[in-house]
Amino acid sequence: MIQRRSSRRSFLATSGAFGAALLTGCATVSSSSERALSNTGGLEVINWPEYIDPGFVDQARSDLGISINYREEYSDNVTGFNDIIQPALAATGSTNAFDIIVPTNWLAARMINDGWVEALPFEEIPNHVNLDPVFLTNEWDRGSRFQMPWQAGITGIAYDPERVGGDVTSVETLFDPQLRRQVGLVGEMREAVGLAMLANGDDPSNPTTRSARAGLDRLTQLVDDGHFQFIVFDDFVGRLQEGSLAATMAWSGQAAALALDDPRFRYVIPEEGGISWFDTMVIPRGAPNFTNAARWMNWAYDPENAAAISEFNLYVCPVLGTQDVLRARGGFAAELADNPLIFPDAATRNRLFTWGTLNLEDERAIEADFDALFCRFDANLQYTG
Amino acid sequence: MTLSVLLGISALLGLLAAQDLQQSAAEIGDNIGPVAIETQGLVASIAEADAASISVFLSGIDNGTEDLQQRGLYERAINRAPRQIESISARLPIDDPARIPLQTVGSQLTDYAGTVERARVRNSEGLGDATADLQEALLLAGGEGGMLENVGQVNAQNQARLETGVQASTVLVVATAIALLIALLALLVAQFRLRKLTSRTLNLGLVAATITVIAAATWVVVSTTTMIVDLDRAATDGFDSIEIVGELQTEAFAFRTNESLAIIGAESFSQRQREEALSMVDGLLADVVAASDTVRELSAANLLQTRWDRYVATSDAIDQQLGLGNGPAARALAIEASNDDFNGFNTGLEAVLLSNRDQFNLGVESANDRLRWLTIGMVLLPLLGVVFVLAGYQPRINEYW
Repeated sequence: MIQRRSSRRSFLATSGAFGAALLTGCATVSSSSERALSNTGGLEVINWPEYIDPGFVDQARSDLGISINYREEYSDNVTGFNDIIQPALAATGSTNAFDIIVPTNWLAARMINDGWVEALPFEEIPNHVNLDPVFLTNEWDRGSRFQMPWQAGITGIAYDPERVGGDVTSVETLFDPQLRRQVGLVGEMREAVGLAMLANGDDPSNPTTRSARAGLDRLTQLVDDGHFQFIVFDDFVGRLQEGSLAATMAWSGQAAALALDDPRFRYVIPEEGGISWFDTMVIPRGAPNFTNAARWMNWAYDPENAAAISEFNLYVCPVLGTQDVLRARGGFAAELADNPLIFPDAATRNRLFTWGTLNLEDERAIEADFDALFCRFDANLQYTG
Repeated sequence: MTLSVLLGISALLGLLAAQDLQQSAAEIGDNIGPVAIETQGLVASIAEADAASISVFLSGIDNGTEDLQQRGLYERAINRAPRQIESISARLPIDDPARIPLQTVGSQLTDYAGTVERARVRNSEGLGDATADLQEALLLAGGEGGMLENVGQVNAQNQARLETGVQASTVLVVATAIALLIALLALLVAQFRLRKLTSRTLNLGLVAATITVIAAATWVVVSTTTMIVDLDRAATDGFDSIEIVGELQTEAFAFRTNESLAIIGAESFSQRQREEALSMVDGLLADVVAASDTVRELSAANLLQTRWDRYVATSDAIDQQLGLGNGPAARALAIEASNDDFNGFNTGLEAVLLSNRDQFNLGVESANDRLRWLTIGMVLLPLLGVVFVLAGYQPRINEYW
């Protein structure tokens, strides 16, 4: 059975605190002196829920010969930062609480900038060479010296053609007043504002304060008009199935699983383009099991293991060689190898935009204003007017 | 009196020497090292911009859809480069000869961006001149007298600054050591004379002053020697590796430029030229491996080798398609796999480079740590010597004069 990652960001009850906590700091880049290899125990990994088959973690335990405490406690970047990362690292910039954590790319960039992340010990990660080069050109970590992507994803549109009365092909279609009160707004600023920017004809991979503001204004207007019925995270699948939404901004992994489970629903990368992101493994400064953390990364970048991980969560795989492994396995795995949502081809990649770098202060302000939109929705994230 | 003057001179020279050493270390840490890194970063940006612009161009041929991802990469790289030039410029002395090639790179970069844009527009309009424009851009970047060559000159000047900086700072140290040695001799003579004038074997004040001077002399010699050793290690482990990586980057980029010129049909890239260029890169890769003095560096160098091998495999396939006269197939490979592979190698180089920078910085930091107390010590110890000398003579004054 296809299982899927249930949540990238399950609930944003703490949005007010987010603005205050997550957006502070980021003053200096620390010196990145190389840390010697060391372990004091097994391995503490904190990842998003259902990003790997629990049985496969046992495989890692067996392969690496270490005890692994794998915690699916990173439910979203907001609570992940407020409840896990900041308490562990803000005081001293160092922690002994865990060895690997998997924030989304933009948050990883801030952690690296703050000097909260160890430089990777390449000698323990020969499989670093399997990292797809498209992930090596990030301005904030050229050559990927501090992080290794776990999985990537695409934010596009999932919809029910029957309820919509046709196909949703673009963000503009999603914003069509005819769909008022039937649309889901993804609760992640960079993805929602990014899609609105694309609809405005702007480039979210190269945002300016003006273009990002224009995107946010477009969303705010739509919220004012009552266009969005729900703010969605992982729950968009249920909302579509129960019929409370006709179309929604959605993540590719779950959408791919939904399309496989229930062919009534479709998923598209809009004509204007989709938003790409990735959740990435970092070793926090001071991690007690530095060596084991690196070995885990190396294990995850073995194409055989990466294939098993991709088969489980259906998100975009950043590991070279995985596609060949899946093809060789045949059957359902081989079908996945040709799925552009898992292995985007050139044409698909050409339609994806990753949120770029914006003036930090302005980005904080936009983030705060986006989070303020949540006040228009109740505790179930349903629109209240 | 003579002793006090000698010790005073030693204190003054020591102060000047310590300050000079600190300035040298600061100059190396704050300017020379960062310039070395930034120049290679600039090469990486030019290489990335060039690789991406070729992909954008090739994807747009025959009314094809321009590759937006590559266009984004190009724009980021071309926007990064002027910031790097600015950063290098801010760290160069006002009359540094490296400013001339750096200014040339700045104006070439503007020309380059304009030429790439012209090629892009003509390409989208299907005008034949587009290929000539791209060729011009490629040569502006990697050709004779191009940006890459000029960045190389900036780098060479910077290397010269490193060498002269360390040498110059040792002159005052030698002068201080000589002054302290003279003071030491004078103290021994004074001790000998006082022994003749009095019944005491040793004058405790002069003994204390002698010990103080020996301590000061030892301190200045040890501090200077270890600082030079640290800087030398930083230069050997970090700076030299940066130089090799820079050379590798330049050769790899030149290879890529020649391959691109062959793909657009502007110039041929013969088998012999290819083999020579590949052999050059392989040699430099071996140098990078040889210069790796930690397991981590060695691992990074090995990763680099794998990424280069991957790029060469794709390049061979392109060459094969060109040999078969199959331009579209060669272009398709260049747009997709070759570009990704080259960027993988290019950013891999940057990762190695940044590791070398960290190592260089650690060496400079260590040198600075050793010098931290030298200024204070070089003033206080000789002055303490003066106090001891006066204390040593005071009982004698009371007794005999």
